[in-house]
Amino acid sequence: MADQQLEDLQLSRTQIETAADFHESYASYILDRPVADQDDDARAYDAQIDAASALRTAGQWALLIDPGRAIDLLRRSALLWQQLGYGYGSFLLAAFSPRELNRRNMLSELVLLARPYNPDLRQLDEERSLPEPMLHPQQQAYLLLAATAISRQANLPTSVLYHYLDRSPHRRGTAPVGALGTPLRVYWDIARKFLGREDEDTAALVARDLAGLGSAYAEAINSAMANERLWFNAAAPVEVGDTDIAAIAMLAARRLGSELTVTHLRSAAEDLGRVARVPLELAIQVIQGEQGNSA
Amino acid sequence: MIIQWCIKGMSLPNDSEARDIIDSRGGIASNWWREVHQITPAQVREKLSDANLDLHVNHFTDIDPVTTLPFHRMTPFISLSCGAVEREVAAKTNYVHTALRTALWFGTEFGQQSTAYLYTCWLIVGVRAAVEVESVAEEVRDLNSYRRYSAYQTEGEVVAKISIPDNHIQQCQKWTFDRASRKVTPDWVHPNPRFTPPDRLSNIRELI
Repeated sequence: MADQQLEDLQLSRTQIETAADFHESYASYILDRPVADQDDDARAYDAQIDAASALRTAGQWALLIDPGRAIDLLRRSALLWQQLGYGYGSFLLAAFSPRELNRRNMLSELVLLARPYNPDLRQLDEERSLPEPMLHPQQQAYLLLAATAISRQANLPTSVLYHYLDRSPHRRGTAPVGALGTPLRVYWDIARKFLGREDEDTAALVARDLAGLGSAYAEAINSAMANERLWFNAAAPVEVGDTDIAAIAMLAARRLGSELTVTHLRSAAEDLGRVARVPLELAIQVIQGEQGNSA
Repeated sequence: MIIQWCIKGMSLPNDSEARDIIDSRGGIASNWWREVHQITPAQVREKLSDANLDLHVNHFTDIDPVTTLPFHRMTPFISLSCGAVEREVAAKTNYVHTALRTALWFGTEFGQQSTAYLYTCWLIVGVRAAVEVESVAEEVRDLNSYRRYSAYQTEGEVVAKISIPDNHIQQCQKWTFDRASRKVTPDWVHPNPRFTPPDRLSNIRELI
């Protein structure tokens, strides 16, 4: 990350590196503890969620200084979330490591979600039920974003996706999603755009949505900065490297192409203030880093 | 009232000072008490105010206009972590925070020190705000200025007032953070022989 951006956030590179190291170390400790120390399955589950959360925290800090390390940390976090049945795991993996996405489970969950709205699907998978986390609209939104972004590469049935996207009451949902507490319908709308045409208009609309999240990010960060002790010590309860914005931008790049996405993200960022621009610039760096790796 | 298990993470100069908090029977005193050495009941009443609680939670390092010192030097409150690992919260936020992780982060001075001392203790927390009542701790998660992010509040903060009696402290454990090898490791445990388990306050009567 450019020094100018760190200056905008008034954070030191050393403190960010320390935070990423600490939370990664903590996750390793939790995961390496012998199973015999765990009293029961519930404790093992809690430990996995604890480690997944710590890796997410480490990853969001690393986003600010080292996109490659951030992707690795978020990938490790995502694998745990996926294993525990969270749509969030699929979302992060579709963005940062699609090869590790459990596509079979993803399809099965999509069918289960769309079944109430489509008579043709009612006979399928009658015995199966959704993992408990997937009963929450937030997890459904993450799964939809992942599925719509990679539907073509993964040959997912778009009719199933349309049925669920267009008929679920969550399409107008207001439940808060992500670190910014974004209304559910915003995530739903982006997923709908991923199913649309692969063109300039779609890229511009998605970039505009992400710029909106950037403005909400600036508001959150400015409030968090008021508590100087927590802010300067990387202890404020906000996500400074916003993982949702970075992952949605990465999904957009997978769906619409990196160049088109980056061009529109740059253009959308121009109208934003310095802090609001930060998550979009981080997203661009992640996309370009991925491009560099696959070149 | 709720009996809440908590962890206080502290950065101390050496093992002997860490053990002494238990061995001296002094418990954990607020910065204010340690700074001025002697306090009176009348001063305690004055110190335990909503305004001071707000300064403690949101402006810990700002200058207190009353004392002209940074507020943290004269705070009558003691922050502790209690964490929250609730599945419903995890499904809504993809995040949980545990008392251990938070106490380690604060106890290592935000990763600047390689050692942290973690005190496991219990407090009586009021179900409603009662900052003036010394004997109950306050749950302050919702007092943060960025309260719309309360679901993400990582400090999991409860504040005790004036001091935590030594018989509420079950043990002290030393932890190390080796940044070079990216390892967090538990070290010795110093139990408190005078610890009073909170079960003593239980209102469940056993069969005779």
